Amino acid sequence: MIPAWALDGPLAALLLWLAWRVLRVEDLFQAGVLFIVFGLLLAVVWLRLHAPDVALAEAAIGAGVTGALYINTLAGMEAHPAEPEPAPAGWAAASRWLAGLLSVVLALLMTVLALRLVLAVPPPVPTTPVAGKLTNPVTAVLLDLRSYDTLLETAVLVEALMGVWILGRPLAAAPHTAPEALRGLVRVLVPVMVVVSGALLWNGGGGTGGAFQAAAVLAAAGILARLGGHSLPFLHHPRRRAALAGAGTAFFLAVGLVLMAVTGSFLGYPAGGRDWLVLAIEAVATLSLATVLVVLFEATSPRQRPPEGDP
Amino acid sequence: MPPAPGMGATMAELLSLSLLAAGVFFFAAGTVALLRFPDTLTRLHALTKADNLGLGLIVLGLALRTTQPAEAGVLLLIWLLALTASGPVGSLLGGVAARQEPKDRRS
Amino acid sequence: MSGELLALLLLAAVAPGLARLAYGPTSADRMLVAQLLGSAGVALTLAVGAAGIPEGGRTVALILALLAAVSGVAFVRRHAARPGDGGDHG
Repeated sequence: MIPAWALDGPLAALLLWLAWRVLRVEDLFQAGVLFIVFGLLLAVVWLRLHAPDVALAEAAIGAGVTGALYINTLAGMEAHPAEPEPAPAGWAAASRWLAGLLSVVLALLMTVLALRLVLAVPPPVPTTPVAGKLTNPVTAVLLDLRSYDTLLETAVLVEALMGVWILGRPLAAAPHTAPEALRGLVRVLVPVMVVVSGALLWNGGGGTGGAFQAAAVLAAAGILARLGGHSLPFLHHPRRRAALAGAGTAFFLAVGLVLMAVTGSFLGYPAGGRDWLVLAIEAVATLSLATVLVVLFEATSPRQRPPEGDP
Repeated sequence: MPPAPGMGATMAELLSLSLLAAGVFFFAAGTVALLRFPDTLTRLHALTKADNLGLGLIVLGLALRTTQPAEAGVLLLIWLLALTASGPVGSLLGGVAARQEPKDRRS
Repeated sequence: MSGELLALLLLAAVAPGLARLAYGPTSADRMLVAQLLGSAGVALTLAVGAAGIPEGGRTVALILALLAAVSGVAFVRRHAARPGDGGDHG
């Protein structure tokens, strides 16, 4: 009924305006809310681009995880402000040079990509070599054709977690009791989130879904439980946390090595077992990624003050 | 959306259109409330009611266009989830708003 | 009404609400904007899905409806619960 650009134009303009505001606004909390809104609109844009899996990931991570993570970290920062360290001489000039160089490189990259778009030179579409139950093209690319990249992505997340752990912040103790309304909400929503996460994982092969989306929803469930006053006891022991966080990458790697021995190529799936191997890898990855996100959330929370008087 | 022949289909289309339009109207009403009401609590109250109603009307309007009952069921589930979350969150935000009242009341 | 038209109307209906983000005055007001956009986002994804991939739109809308509460709860439990947040700022 209306031309496509009538919707896409305002959407794009609004996105650009929001991005500008996020960077320009003074108050960090306001920037956080703007960022949440930005993520929501971005998910809509992904749908417009006929990329429902990406839209799903953006919605799950933007709505469920990033918003809470940002607000939580902001509160943690304000509760425990770090003393500003004096920067070594010359650092300011050096960082400006670096920023300038990076901007030039990115601008060149964007120009090249824009030119490719304008001159209609699309990149070659990867074709799925083996037909099976894995009909979702995104999952096929992520877990089959470019599985090595996905393996590295899971490793990157674990490294991010290690970076936070190195800072030595202890895990926040369980927060004070939640109001009744919140407890009721958690009781209803968390089970639904866990089930939906499982459904996204299971459907990831054929329909919309996948490991990252399932992990984001599961992480949101964990974050909601933490916010609601539940202490998630299975994450208390530091070794278990580390094991859970690293299990996805480790399993992925192990499968790759075993397959190298069996079929001769790293992560070269045998014709019959591909679908089940992919599902297994995704299942372990989901648990790991969710653990990483939840532990990141806890590590950046405001620490519990020791109770002096009445809470 | 291919129109099916017969009076019944046209009635459903008309109903769907009215519901969708009403949904948009309620969302707009919620935005007006957010911008014009004098006080955080009144804004919160109006917003939650208008948004939930607007979403419900849009869900209903879209449900009339579905071909499978399962699709309409998912739509209804979406609205129910939004509704379920909105109550407690609204109450929690209300608690915060009551505590955060600005000391100097500007209009 | 096509999905695209519905989406455009919805966008026009809620985008002005962003002004509240600048006015405030309290942080709860700003969080209200996030909640408004969250509900509108569910409707938007359904509308855009109807114009493109309905199943994808419904799945994304489901996730949004499910998870939108999490940031609101994070706000109430972390931002608004900071010691000394009796007044309004931010």
